[in-house]
Amino acid sequence: MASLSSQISTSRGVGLPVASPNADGGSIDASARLPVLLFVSASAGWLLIGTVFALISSFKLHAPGFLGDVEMLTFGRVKGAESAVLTYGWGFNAAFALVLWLLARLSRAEIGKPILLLVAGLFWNFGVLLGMLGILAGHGTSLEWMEMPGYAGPLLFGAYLFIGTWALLTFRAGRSSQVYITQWYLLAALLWFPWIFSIAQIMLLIDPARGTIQSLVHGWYSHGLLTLWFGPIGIGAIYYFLPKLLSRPISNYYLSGYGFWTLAIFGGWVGATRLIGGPVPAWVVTSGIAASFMLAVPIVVLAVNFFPTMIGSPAALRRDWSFHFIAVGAVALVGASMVAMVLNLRGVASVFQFTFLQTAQSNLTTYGFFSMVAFGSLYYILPRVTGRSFPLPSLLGFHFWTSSIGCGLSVAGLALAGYEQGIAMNTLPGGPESAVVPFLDIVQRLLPYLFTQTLATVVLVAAHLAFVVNVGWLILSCADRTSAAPSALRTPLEAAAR
Amino acid sequence: MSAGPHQPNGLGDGSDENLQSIHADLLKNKPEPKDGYSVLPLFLLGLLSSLVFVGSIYFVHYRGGIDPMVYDERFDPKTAAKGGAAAQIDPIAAGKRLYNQPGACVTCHQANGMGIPGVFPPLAASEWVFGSEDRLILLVLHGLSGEIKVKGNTYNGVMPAFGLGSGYNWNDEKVAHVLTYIRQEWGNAAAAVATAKITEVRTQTAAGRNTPWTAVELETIP
Amino acid sequence: MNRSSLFFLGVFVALAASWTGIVLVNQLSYGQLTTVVDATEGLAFPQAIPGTGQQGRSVYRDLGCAACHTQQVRRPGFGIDDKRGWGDRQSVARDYLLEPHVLIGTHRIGPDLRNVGARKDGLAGRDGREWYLRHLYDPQLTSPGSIMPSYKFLFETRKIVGQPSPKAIQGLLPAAYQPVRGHEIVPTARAETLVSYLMNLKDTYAYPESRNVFVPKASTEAAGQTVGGNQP
Repeated sequence: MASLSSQISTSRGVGLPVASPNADGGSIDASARLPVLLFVSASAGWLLIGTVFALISSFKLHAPGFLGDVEMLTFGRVKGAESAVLTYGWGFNAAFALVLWLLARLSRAEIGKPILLLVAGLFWNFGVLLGMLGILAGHGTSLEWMEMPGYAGPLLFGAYLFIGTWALLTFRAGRSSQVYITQWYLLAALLWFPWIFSIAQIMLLIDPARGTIQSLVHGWYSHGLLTLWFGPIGIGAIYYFLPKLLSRPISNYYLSGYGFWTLAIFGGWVGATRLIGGPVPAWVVTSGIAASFMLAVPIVVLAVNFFPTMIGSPAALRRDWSFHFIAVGAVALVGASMVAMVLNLRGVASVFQFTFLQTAQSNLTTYGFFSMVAFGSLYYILPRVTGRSFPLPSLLGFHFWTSSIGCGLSVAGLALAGYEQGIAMNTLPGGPESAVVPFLDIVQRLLPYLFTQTLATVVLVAAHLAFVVNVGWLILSCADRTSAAPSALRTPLEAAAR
Repeated sequence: MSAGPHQPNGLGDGSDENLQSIHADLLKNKPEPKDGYSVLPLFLLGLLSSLVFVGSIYFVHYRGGIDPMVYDERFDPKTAAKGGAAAQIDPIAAGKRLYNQPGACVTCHQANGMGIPGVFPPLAASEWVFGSEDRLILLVLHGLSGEIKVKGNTYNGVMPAFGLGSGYNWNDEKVAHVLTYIRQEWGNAAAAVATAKITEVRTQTAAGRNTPWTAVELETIP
Repeated sequence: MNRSSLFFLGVFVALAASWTGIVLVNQLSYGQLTTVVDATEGLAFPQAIPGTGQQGRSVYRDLGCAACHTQQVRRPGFGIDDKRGWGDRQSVARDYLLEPHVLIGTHRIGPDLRNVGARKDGLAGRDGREWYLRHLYDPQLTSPGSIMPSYKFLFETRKIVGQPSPKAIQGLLPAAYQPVRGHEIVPTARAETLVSYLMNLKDTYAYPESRNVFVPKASTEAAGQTVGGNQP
């Protein structure tokens, strides 16, 4: 015991993560406050900027003359900027906040002196800013999910190494003897991301590989971002918040390990499905499709873990807004994964590849799953790390409904667009001897759906404004800081225990 | 957003320590087995096995010989390598496809081979098509510019070059196919043209030619 | 080996396996891929595109054209790429061998561009280059109803000094687009190189591996009986 306390005091002196001396979350939350607030504020800001870009690019799809003479906002560039900002700005900052807080809580370790972590966070966001400006200036790479120019990569990588290492140290410093499934998912994600990122940067930008090897690396990386970074983090968050919010353990928890390992083994291979029919050896694509079948196992495990837990819980607990967000996220995850499996079948891909149906499925995964889970999780975390409650709880409800409606409208509209587009572009609707549908006719048919997408994006702008207001107001409000604060701070059980 | 009255069921005091220890206990002490088998792990095992089975069969069937040079998943290099099962091309079908390619012959001479009166000459019953092979081949290889008389009518325009080295860059086989096609379509009944003939004409009769012909020049060729 | 080391090993191996299968193995097998020297033509394929075209590729990349356009032709029978005239064979790895940045794209909001150079050539009576310049200046001129944005910023409207430039394009534009008197519209170097790049996009050479196409048994027995053409 003596050595442990001396270790703690040494580490504390240096500012590294240390085991928390308290059993409750209070000091851990306090230690996590500054890093979490930095990452959440950054994520909120980028979310708003990215949504504005999304609105501009969506508008340009049905009204190409809109801001048409502004070179910096030409569709190709603004689309790239939108994707980069939403992924690396919103997505990663939210992920960092989640990962740090969850690992600190589950390992029962305090984050330590956060100054270096804050500097790393600033470097990350500076990298995103530089990348965004680079794309708008014309230095972008035109590679989906990797649009930022090569000079932003090292900045992001260096910042990440610091943040990731800090998170790992937080885990190591912990005293908990049991490791919960969330920690597995988060640790795996922390270990996988620097790998796929650095390999992609090297083989695509720094020392480009030969010919379509680049396409293979790109497919592996872009799909890996979903199955090996955002996916595990979102899943880990759901595994933590469902039991916390609903006061019951995960149903069939003993299956969770199988879900994790099957995702780990097969998740990396599915990237090859982005190249179905493409200029790469056919066997790689086949192995990707076979791996895509195998991912049914983790999907079933997740469904069997999440859905019974949610369904059997008391209605009163389900009224919590965090729960609403996370429940939508869980359903979207399972739904989007099943759709992906179908879209990866070669016969289906021959018709719907390269269409808006692909975009719809991708949006359902990134927004319907990850963003919704992130919103719900952050709304849980923020009151606890700041010691304040949301001044206007109904704004959380407004955010939830606008996000859900916007996401649903966008996904439905794009799915219908993609369906029509695929049939018209990749098949002969009139029969085997008929003429092909002229390309410009296809474009005309898509216009109503693209307009719907713009409407959906307007709704999402409202949703994200609500998010920014919620976060900002909470941080800036002068509410009571003491631990006798209202019950919104803790789960009802925590409150009852103190 | 208060939660109202409830009964805690299963997570103790709701702390993280409890979260972890309760779930760890769940792992160690599985629920008492009921009568017979518990369905879920069996179902999952069945799912996993059948997926492994289906996935493996899918992979073996569509592996394309695990050959980096095979881009068509249905192709098996072992069965195809044995003697000439390499595709037998039907020259007329191939020629028809080339003819009807957007931007190619059909653009001017139209799908019915009738051309556009006064603008583009017809190919149906055209003396240039079923006449001298050499003239026809050179015309297609290098293009034509200026006046040409077809079936009694005069046309004055430009026909682009289609042979090797031109914008279209069709190899000899493609030229042979499309000429074979037009020579038997729309009522024409002339002999097919062989790839070797195209090569011979291109490399010997008109070696080095890279400008379009005129009708006058072509008429000097037998 | 304690539990956490096993965990880290498992996580590492899981990723290493997919990296090996998707990237490493192919990197090694592509290492043997070279250009093919065709005896008949005495040229090596794929041919390097001229320097202006290479610069044009950078412009293509910088403007984000790959956001809407793919550059990969799928095999006949898989979709209808061939019937649309986008290419008569599947794109193979060798087609992209000489490209420093491969931009095969992921969306077809616009048509596939892999063989656009072969499509637009020889448009009866029209110079392919002029079609591209008009298309870039305002896509509505060549493709009414298109949602492709205009790239007027790739062109410069300037006062005519001395002789009018031979590269001026206002002669190709309708009345509504004419500049004020005494001015001309000239493509910038970026427009010229982009057009050069697009005009050089053609994969017309049939590589040996393009013949690795599955043919159903019936058509090998009865050559000449085929409906349409599903051969390479």
